[in-house]
This record gives sequence, structure tokens and C-alpha cells, in this order.
Amino acid sequence: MEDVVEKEAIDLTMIDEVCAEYKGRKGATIPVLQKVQEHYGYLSSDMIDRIGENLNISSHTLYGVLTFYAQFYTTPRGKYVIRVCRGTACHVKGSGRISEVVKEEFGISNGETTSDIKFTLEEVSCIGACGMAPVIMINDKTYGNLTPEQARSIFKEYAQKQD
Amino acid sequence: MVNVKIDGVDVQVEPNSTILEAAEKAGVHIPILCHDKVLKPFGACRVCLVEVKNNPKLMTACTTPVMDNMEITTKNDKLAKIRKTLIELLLINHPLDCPVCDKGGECTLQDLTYEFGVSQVRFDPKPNDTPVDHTNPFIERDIDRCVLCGRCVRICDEVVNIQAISFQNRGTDTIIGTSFNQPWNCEFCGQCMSVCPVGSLNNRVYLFKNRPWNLQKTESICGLCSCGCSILIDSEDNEVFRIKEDYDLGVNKGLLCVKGRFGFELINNVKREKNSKIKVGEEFKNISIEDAISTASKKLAEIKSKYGSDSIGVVVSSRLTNEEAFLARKLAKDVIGTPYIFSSETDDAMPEGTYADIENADDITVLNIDVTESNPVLGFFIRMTARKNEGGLRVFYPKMTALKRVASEFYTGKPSELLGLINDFADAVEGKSNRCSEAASKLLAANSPVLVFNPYSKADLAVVSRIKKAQPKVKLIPCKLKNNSQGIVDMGCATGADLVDGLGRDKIKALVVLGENIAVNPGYVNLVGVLSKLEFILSTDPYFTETSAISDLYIPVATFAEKSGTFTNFEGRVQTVNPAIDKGLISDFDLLVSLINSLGGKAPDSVDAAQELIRKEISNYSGVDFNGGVVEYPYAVKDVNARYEIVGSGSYELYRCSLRFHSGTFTTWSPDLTKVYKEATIEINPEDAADLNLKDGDLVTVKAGETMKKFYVEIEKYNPRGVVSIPMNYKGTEAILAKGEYQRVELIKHA
Repeated sequence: MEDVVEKEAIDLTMIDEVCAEYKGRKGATIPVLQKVQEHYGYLSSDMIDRIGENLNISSHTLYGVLTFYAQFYTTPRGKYVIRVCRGTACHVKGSGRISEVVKEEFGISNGETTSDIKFTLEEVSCIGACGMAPVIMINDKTYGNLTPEQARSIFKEYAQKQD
Repeated sequence: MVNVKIDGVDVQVEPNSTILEAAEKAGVHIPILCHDKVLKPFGACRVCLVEVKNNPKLMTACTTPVMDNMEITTKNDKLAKIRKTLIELLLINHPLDCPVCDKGGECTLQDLTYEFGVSQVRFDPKPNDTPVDHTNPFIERDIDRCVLCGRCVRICDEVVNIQAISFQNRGTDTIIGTSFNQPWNCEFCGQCMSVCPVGSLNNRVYLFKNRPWNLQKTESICGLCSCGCSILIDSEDNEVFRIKEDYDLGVNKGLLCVKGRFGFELINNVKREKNSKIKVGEEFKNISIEDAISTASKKLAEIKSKYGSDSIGVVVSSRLTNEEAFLARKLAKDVIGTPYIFSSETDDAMPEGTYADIENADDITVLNIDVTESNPVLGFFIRMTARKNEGGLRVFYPKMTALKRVASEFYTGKPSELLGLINDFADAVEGKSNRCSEAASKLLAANSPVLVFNPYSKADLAVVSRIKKAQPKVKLIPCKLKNNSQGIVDMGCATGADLVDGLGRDKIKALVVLGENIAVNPGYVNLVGVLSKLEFILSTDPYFTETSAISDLYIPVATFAEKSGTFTNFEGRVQTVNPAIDKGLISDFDLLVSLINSLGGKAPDSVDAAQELIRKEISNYSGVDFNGGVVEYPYAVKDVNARYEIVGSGSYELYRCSLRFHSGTFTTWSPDLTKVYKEATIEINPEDAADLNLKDGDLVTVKAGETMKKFYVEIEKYNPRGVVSIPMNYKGTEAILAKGEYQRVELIKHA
């Protein structure tokens, strides 16, 4: 299958710098993956190959590591990551409806990202704020005691943000 | 030693043995699924759980070391119940499609199901339904059948050292796969497949063709390179169905490469010629083998009486057995009386180091050869040792090879720079230079160093002989090309006589070409015109080759799977080849016996009788066991005086590379190997390709002096800038490669 849209080339030289710092050290894999992801937002096949070349580790082994941990992502992540808590308390208070609102507003399900790479939906087990259930987080900001309509207006607000 | 009691049997074992090893010694059977003795203990499947007295928990026999006075129970109702449940749980996801699974009859899971008496599954079966992966021509992958024992991942990591696959995801989503689920793209050695206990990784060349219980196993030696690997030829009704390994057998310890494991269809190929052919005018006509032999002997006798005995030359292929090569020399020297025996082998370098020397080495130098491609199984041993030693592997080669992951020093670069560096290294070993002195001092300080090199390059040989003199401890391993490259030297067929020279002097009027495809050999490339002037050419080959096409009489002969005899590998180890099948074709041995007898000589009437004669006449073979003995040689390398030379002019430096999938022209008859590599391609650095506006698969003309030749482009990120390479011994490459080992060329892109 050929890519119809030619992807914008990403400058991967930052990977070489990160790897140079860790080269020859044991246990470098996870910190390098973390730093690279921190910079690019996710880990692509090309990035993994480049890390592998630099650290002299098979890209297949690296892929095994990164798919093991929930902290690593293989697709670009939205500018705003919406974490909808699906823990017991939030579930009872109707967090399922809030996920549905995200789907209605942005057309994305759990783990998906909008095509403009603005929003990613992530359903999480518990964010430790059961007192304000149902609760969501958008990046580092927490919003609690939500009704679906309140959630919708928050999402709309973010959707209109320009920067 | 440690005393343990297993099921009431007392046994003494080494400290640090596992319970499983102790049980084996005691003759007690413990079932295993994820464990494999070639791999490190893993303990994933829990099938080998045993009870240890005074220990409240059950222990996995494969990972638990024994302690003194341990009392172990391997069989009781509790264990039986647990093992049975384990299998039942595996069978929830494992599809019960045994009737259509190639593994049926030799499947560990099937055997365990039977052994533990699982006759029904208490749980709702939920077999996955993932499409089968057919993306590569050798290994079919059905991940639904996978039980996640991890043997494939571990052998690719621990033994092959390539890490082409890994465990992915987590928990119930775990699968075995590649990075971003790309198609498998590795060396295709098939080691993963050989250890798979279920039908998850299958041999596509064998797929759905037969069932294991129908197959007859013949122990033999692979005939596709000089590694001398023991193989099991599985055959039925004179057809080879697969080549299997035996991890208890042979110098290769069960390891095989893509050629040895998957290339065997060249034995069955329907394009193999069944009839002898004689040239009448411009056409070939079929004749019977009896007529062919009598025509050959009549013609040879006629030419001998007309022009004298030195008007006949005999060309010996490195693929013949020792016995055949011995008879070929007998035919030439004793019966015809000609000094002209030709082969593409030399006696410049003789075997010295063995596989054991590699395993025990503390310092390995690989000089200017991609051993992982030319002799893949030797490459496995080098990688395993380097991994075990965590270093001590030094490689000189224009580009990074598969040794990259384990090499501690890797010197790459343009030949014009690299060759200078190699000279510096040799100088430093001799104490004449300070450049490269760190590497040299490591080699000099080593206790059991090994040097792996290409014995066909005079300039490399010169370096090797200098290093050997300066560091006599170094064991030399010449990477000979073919299965019996060494044997034909030992049988006296490497006389140093030069075919080009011999034919050029117009003395030779007839040639007997035994299995060599001289028409496409770079060493003989200028011959084709001369050959047409000869009065008579007899050629033998399993296939009708380019050489057969220019001969007057062609006789199709047996391959290594159809004949008896011995091969001598690069270690100088003589090993017995056994016929697995019979295609109704004569062997070179029987043909030579007939020719010798009809030309007035007396040939031994059997391979055994020929071996008796070899013992009498070839002194260093006299006391050698022909089934695995190692020949001792008077020297390892001759004093060779040669310098590196880059011939020609142009903007790109060209070197000859080796090719894993093929050892020359013979393996190109395998329809499976040619699926991954069909024609010789030119490898080029991505930036150079971009400069020339070339993409993978484009045609480019290589211009070396006046010679021009088109090749398909293959982009190779490891080739340095300004460097291109073309594989050796490949049809269509001879005209270019004959010019020199290293040359400067121009590349011209096609419109």
C-alpha cells in the first residue's frame, strides 16, 4: 500500500544527540525512549530505527519494550489529551456519557486522535479524584462534577483555542 | 558434585545443574514446552512444575538449580492435575486445527495433550482468527497457534544474535512480531521455525506437501557452502521434502542457514536435465547415458592419440566429493597423462582453526569478508562467541555487516581508505607502526585469537601471512567458498595450472568439465571465445548450464543428495555424504569410473574402494576418520606477496560482496531462494542514489573501462558514500568483476 499523502519529513537529528548522551550505558533504552517521545510526542517507526542504529539495539526489541509500557505511544498525540476517568465512582456518575460527548464533538474513540492532531481521547482507570466524579483531565488541568453538557462546552472552548 | 533424589532415583550432578538436567541424568522424564536445551532457562510455560520436599511452592524444573540432598517428585496426582489444566488453558486460544496443521505428528503441544490425557476442554474455546502471514517466502506465520513460549524470540536473540522478532504488547494481547508489524525481513535462517513447538512458524517450502511420519530421514552433509553442516534430508519416493536440523548433530550444532534449510528445491527442480545431450550441428540431441560415455571415451582417446596426452584438460568443480576429485585427478594424471587439471581453488591457505577454536577464542578478527553472508553458520558461531565475550570482535569490511551488533571494533570505509587501514593494522601487529596500535596490541595480547579471512584474495592473504608470523598463536580460518573447496585441493586438483593460460597457448584441444560453470566464472570470463575453438568439450552438471550450452557433450549428474562420498569443510574436517534419493542419474563418481576403465586405466569399483586408495595415496588423509575427522595440514598460509590494488578509473569504488541467499550459480536453481534474490544487483548508498536520481529497482549501467553492464539498483544504507558493490559468482557479473577485486567505475543512469 502506498502512502497517498506524503508525510512531512521530521528532523530526527535530536535522536542522535539523546543517544550520544546514553551510548554505552546499560539501561539506556527506557530513558532514551522517554526523551525522544517527550520531544516528538510519540515514537514512529523511523524514530525507532534511528534509536536502534544509535544504540546498536534491534528496532524489533525496542518496539517490544515500547509496546509493553502504557507510557509510550506509536501514533502522534493530540495537542490536548483528554483523559476521561472510567473508575468505579466516575462510571456510576455517568462518565460513559462524557466519552460519548467526545465522540460526538471530535469523532474519536478511546486511544484515537483527531486528524488535525489537536485532541486525543484516553480513558483511564482512576485519576484519584473520586470526590469530584465524573472527572476529566485535559493535559494537566482537571475538571470535575461534570454534566455531559458542561463537558461539551469545555471541549468547544478548547476547540476554538488558536495558537 | 551434588546428590539429589528424583522420584526415588539417586543421582549425582554438577552444582548449578537444573532439576531438569538432573532428571535427564536419572532417566526421569519431565515434560517441557517452552524449554529448549540450546537456550537459556526461561520458565514461561510451567509445564515442568515439580514438587520439592519441604518446599511449599511447586518449582519449575527447567529453571531451578539443584541443591544438595534435594528430594524431587515429578509425578503425582496433584502435578498431573496442574499440568492437565495448563494445557486446557492453552487450548482455549490455540485453534484445534491439527488436521490441516503442518506440525501435526511432531507438535509438542499435541504430544503433551496426549501425554496428560486431555480428552475434553472444560473451558469455552476462543481461538483467535488472525490472518496467516505469508509475507515472506520461507516462514509462514500463524500467530493464532502461538503459545508464547518465546523459543523463537530467544533463539533469534541468544543464538542468532539478530533480534528480528520480539514479544509485543502485554498480558493477553501479547504477540510475537516485528517492529510496527513490518513483514519479517531477516537472514531467514529459520532457527525460529526449527524450535517452534507448535505450528505457528512453518516451513513454506515444505508446507502442505507431506506429513512427517511419511518421511525418511537421511543424515548427510549440506552441499551448499564450506561450513560442512550436518543435515537431515527428509525424503519420500525420491523427492526431497525438507531439510531438517538435529541439535545433537554435527559441527553446526543443529544451526542451518537459509540456503541449507530452504534451498533444497534445487534438488527436485523439474528443470533438471534427465537426458545426456550431444551437439549435432547447432542443435543438441538426446542420447542414452551408455552412448554418451562411449562417445566421450572414444573422443578423448582420439584426441589423445592425435595431439598427445597434454592436449586434454580436466576442470574440477569444488562441489565434487573427495572421491570424485580423486578419480578426476587419476583420470587426468594417470590415465590421460595430462598435467592440465584446473580448478578455481588454490593451496595458498589451508584449514587451521575449527568451530571449537571460534567458541574458545578471546579475540576474533574478521578480515575483509562478510562471513555472515559467505559462510552463514560460521557467522553464527562468531556472533555467539562475541556476545558471550562481550566484545573481542574486530571487523574490517567496507560496510557494516550483520556482525555489527556484537562487534567491538568495526572498521568500515571506502576501499581506498580501508585497505590502507588494514595495512596499518598489519604493520602495527608487526610492531612497525603506531597507527591501529590499540587493535594490534589486543590481538598480540590475546591467548586464543582467531583470524577469519577470504583465501581467494591474494592481497588479503599477504596481510594474513604477515599477521600469522607476528602472532603465531592466531588460528586461521579461510572462508572457502564451496562444500568441498578444501577437499579438491587435498586430492591434488589445485595444481596452480591456469586455464586461461593453458587454453591461450593453443595446446589444449579438449576439455572435461566436471560440474564447473566456467562460462560465468569471473576467473574464466575471457575463455568463452577460446572454448569455441576446442575440438571437444564434455560437461557434467546437475543442470544444463551456460557451460553445457557451449559443450559438445553434456551428461546430467547427481547432486549431493543423491550420492555417497565425503566433503572436507573449511576446518579440514572430512564428513560423510549419504544418498537420500535417487533421481536415476549417474554420479560424477560412476562416470569417472567408466571413463577411466574405458580409457585403459583401472578405477576402484566403489566409493569405499576409492577411500582405501585415498588413504594410501594422500598422506594426510591416511589416518583420518572419514566421518568427522580433521585433517592436519603442514602449513596454514603460504608466504604471499601481493598488494591491494584498485584498478580502473571513475567516481565510484566497487568491491565484490558475498550473498547469503546464493553461493554462486547452483543455488539460483532454487525457486525459493530466487524469490528473494533473483539477479545480481548493485548496492549503493542512499545519498549517492539520490544524487544520481536512482531508486530501488532502477537500472543503472556500470562502466568499468570499456566494459558496460546494466544492473538493478538496491539501496544499502550501510554502504559508505562513493562505494558500490556487486555480488561475486553471480551470472552476469563476471565481465565487470574479472577486472579486479577493487576497481573504480562510473555509473550511468538510464533515461
